[in-house]
Amino acid sequence: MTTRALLNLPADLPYESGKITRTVRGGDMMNAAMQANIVALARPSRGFELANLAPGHYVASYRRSHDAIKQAWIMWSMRTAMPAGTALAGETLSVDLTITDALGNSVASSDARIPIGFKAETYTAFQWYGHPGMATLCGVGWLDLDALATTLTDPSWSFEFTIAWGVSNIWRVDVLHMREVARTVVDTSDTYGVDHADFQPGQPASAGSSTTVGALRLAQTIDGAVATQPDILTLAWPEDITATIPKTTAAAYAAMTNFEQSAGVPMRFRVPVRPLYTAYPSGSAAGEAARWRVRYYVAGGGTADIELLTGSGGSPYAITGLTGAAWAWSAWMTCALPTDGTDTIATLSVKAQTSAGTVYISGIHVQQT
Amino acid sequence: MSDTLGRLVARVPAATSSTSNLFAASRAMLAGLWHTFIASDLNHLMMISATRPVFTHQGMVGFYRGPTGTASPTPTPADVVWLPPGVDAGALNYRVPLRVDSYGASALPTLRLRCWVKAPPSGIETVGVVLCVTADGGAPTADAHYISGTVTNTSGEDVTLELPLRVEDLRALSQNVTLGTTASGVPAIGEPYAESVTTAWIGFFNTSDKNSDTADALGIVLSLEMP
Repeated sequence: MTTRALLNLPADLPYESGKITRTVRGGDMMNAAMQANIVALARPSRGFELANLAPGHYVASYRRSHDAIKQAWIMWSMRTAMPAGTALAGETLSVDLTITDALGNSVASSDARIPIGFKAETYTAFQWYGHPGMATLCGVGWLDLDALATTLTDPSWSFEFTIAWGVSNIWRVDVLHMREVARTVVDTSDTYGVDHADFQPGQPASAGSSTTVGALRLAQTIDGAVATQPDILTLAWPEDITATIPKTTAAAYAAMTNFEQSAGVPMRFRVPVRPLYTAYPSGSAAGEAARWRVRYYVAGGGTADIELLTGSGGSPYAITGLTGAAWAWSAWMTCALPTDGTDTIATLSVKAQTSAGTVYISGIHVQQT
Repeated sequence: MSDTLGRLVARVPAATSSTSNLFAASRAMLAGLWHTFIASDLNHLMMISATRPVFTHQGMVGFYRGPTGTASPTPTPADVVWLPPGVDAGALNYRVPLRVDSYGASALPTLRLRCWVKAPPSGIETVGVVLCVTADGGAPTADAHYISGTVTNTSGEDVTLELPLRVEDLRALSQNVTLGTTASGVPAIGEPYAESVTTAWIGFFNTSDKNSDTADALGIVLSLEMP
């Protein structure tokens, strides 16, 4: 094992180093190794933010970039309209976090791996004299993703938050934010990460191995960067079928009530897609690889189908055969996100149908892969 | 721009042991060609790794909170009532902390807000949309770096606001980490990290200021994109 410091300070790699009559030198390779470490380890993209939450139960979906990303930052903050002089009695807040995986494994808030602030402790809200946009109270911590993964063995995780308050409607959890954080260490014992000293002048040029040193380890680290793709759409509503959440009783695919832009037209999300393998700027209807899943509840004994429309040649992408009057994540469905040739924007929307009863959704997760 | 392909070179994973792995030992691949592959991929990744959606939200049907006074022709952050939505039933605004990486070696990404906004049905009111950033996470005031727009279309329209980020919009965050918690003593120490961060604010107002003439802002996407 070798560890090296990692700084997120990129440099352009010149193509001149590969010119005919010029020798690729150790310095060229060391630069490439440092850039590979930055894009594989220092720029993780996954996580979620839920906003403006009243008390309730919310579930957000998360799937780790790769196992060389080790830590995630998690925080909530509260904003209040409680003016100076308001009585404090009973104005309390608590946030409880349980993390589960798709196999049913679970890490409860009482576990030592869940930071303080997310253990359903009761905090007393206080008066606020400052700008109304500023948070008055927050909980902040970090998650050890490797430690969680010892219990949560399936890579698809659910962050289940229960937010509770005291007596009155004078605050909201304005931000509930979780994201992977940058690495500052390259560790060659991780799945990704290359020791740039492998390429020092005087070292033999070597293909090496994808797990140890050399050109293959560098290529392996680039594979890690390719695996570090963003969450494209993460949405959550309260898990309460009496709340204002998306639902439909339609027997044929239709826009969902409370999830419409206008009557009969589904809400649209114009999202950027990273051009990875499809030609840019010419665009491609085939689109970039992605996957999506939905958290659903089917009341009334029906069998429901929910589809994601992306505008790609293979769209829509339907998740079918959903049943059960209990909240659950669907399986992942692969999909494609088209680049449109001018600004790499895909337009996403969702429709649903059910054979009987009502289908509700409380969460959507679309992730580029 | 040193990236000429604009996409990744399709190749087998580095761990592939078959002869299709051009990077393996004894393959007939010149060092110069190998380096061109690697440089192209890394230059491309160094740019696109700075881009991503940083916040997506379904938005809100029926907001009506008016501006703080007479709205400016070009709305500013000071025109928005930043009370917490829900507590002020008519307000709509968001706060988004985010990490920002350089786009390539020498540029910063652009922050873009995309949403769909419908003005109140009376047809005589204006919706203001403001996007701003504060490097230190401080309050969104008229001094913040911002971009704004207005909507009067009662049928609704797509809104795109574009805020090119500047170095002074960012704050260097150096963070020591404690992992999880412990019943006594100090929790496990994690890997310290350093990032460039900022806080984005998204605010809306509706000049009607009454809940009988409301507006919608839906399909909200805030993203870092190519400059």
